[in-house]
Amino acid sequence: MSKLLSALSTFVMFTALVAAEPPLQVQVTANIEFFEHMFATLDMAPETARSTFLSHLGIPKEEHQKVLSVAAEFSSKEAQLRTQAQSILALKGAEQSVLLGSIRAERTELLHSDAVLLMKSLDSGSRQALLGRISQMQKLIPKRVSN
Amino acid sequence: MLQSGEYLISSTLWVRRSNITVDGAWPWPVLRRSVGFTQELMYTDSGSNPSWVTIRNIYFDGNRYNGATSTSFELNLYGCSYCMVTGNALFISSPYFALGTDNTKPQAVTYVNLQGLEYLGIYTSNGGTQCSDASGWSPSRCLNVSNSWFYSIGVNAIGFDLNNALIAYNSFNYNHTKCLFGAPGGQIDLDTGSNDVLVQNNSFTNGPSCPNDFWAVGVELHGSNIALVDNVIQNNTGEGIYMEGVHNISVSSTNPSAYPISNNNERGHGYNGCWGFPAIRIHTMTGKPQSETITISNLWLTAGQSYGVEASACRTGSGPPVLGLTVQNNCVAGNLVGGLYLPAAWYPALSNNQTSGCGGY
Repeated sequence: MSKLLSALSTFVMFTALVAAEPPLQVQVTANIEFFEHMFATLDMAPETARSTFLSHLGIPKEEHQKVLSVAAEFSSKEAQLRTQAQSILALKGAEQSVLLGSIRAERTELLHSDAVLLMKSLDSGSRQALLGRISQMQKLIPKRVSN
Repeated sequence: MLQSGEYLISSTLWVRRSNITVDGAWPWPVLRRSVGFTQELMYTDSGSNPSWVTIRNIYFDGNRYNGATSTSFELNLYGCSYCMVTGNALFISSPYFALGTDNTKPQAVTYVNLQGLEYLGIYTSNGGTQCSDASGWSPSRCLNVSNSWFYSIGVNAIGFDLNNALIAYNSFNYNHTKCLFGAPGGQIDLDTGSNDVLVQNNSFTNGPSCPNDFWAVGVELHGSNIALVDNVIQNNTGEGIYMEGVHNISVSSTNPSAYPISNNNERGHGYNGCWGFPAIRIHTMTGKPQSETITISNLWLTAGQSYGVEASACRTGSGPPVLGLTVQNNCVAGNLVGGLYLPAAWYPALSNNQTSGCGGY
């Protein structure tokens, strides 16, 4: 009986731990607005302002280069997809719709995978700090309150 | 859904329906101002008073580098209740004011980029009865500007009459670049009509010198019931915070080393008379309203070339006294001239303000 209780207790603790810390992919998906905005900002900001933006997000200076590398990679691949999409926009009818749909899906997948890559590139402390900050930021998106 | 592509706009796109999302398909569509067209690119028609409108994934290009001019906004949200601009909305190259928000209605701007604008980023005003109830959404604020990026805007990134507002987690960097109103000014300006504003967890950095010899300060305050909490305010040419004619202002932090107000006064010691620009200035001037009830606490006000806090009539000679000033638990070390200079403050409450042995000094 005591072994059963012990096993049950371990299972409950394990479940609680898993529940407390969802996988990175899940956390990224839940907060994808943040990552899309972050990539877009780093893409448009002049080089001298990028580090200021990362500091604003609370990312330590020694981690900036890692983040900038992933963001640059995303921007480059996204630009390629955009060029493809723009050439497809010149096409007509169903063919255009199918091809555009496929490229848009590819871009969505790229956004998610590079956001995960970015988070993985950070050391554990910075990652947790950023997740905490993202959580605060996400709370600021207005949600309709039902009366 | 607005399809991808570039749209040259020469007449206003009206949004008159409620409960809709005006969305763009990736690659995000660009609404570009046609040269010669000076009205709004998009306008939530105040005649029909729409509500619950979300605008997202659209680029608003003011096209000023190709000679476009404007007398209005790129997007005007006047008359729109519970309306929000969000995800991937971008405002660039606006020749005048980029985004108009209405202080009589609940509205939000979140995850938006504003960059390279000639005058103002977000202009908030209306003149009607100010919004006081935003209980239909959470956070229940009438104006919510959050999670956004403001860079290289000619005058203020946000101004002027904000009511029941939240400004949080934004990055304000290198704004007030042109001082086009012929005066120095803040990266944001909460003017005399501003009331009940929480400014939290933003950064205000690198406010520059202007070509007309004026300058940018971090935050400019003239309103009432304003709280600044946990903001980083660094490397601005003028003061970190400038206030005049204010009522019930609180500037504080929960962790002073993480949210410093430091290295402002980039113009240097002695610029413009007096002793240059302090980290926080409470200015008084004859003919301007009296400042009262100001608390400055738990901050690092360091590394400037003047004072940590100054309350004076510097540059203008005289003015009404500053009443109810409390300055406590701050580090005012590392400022070239001194920690506190408060000749205009009437019996200020001062306690535990360190001039050395703190803030890295």
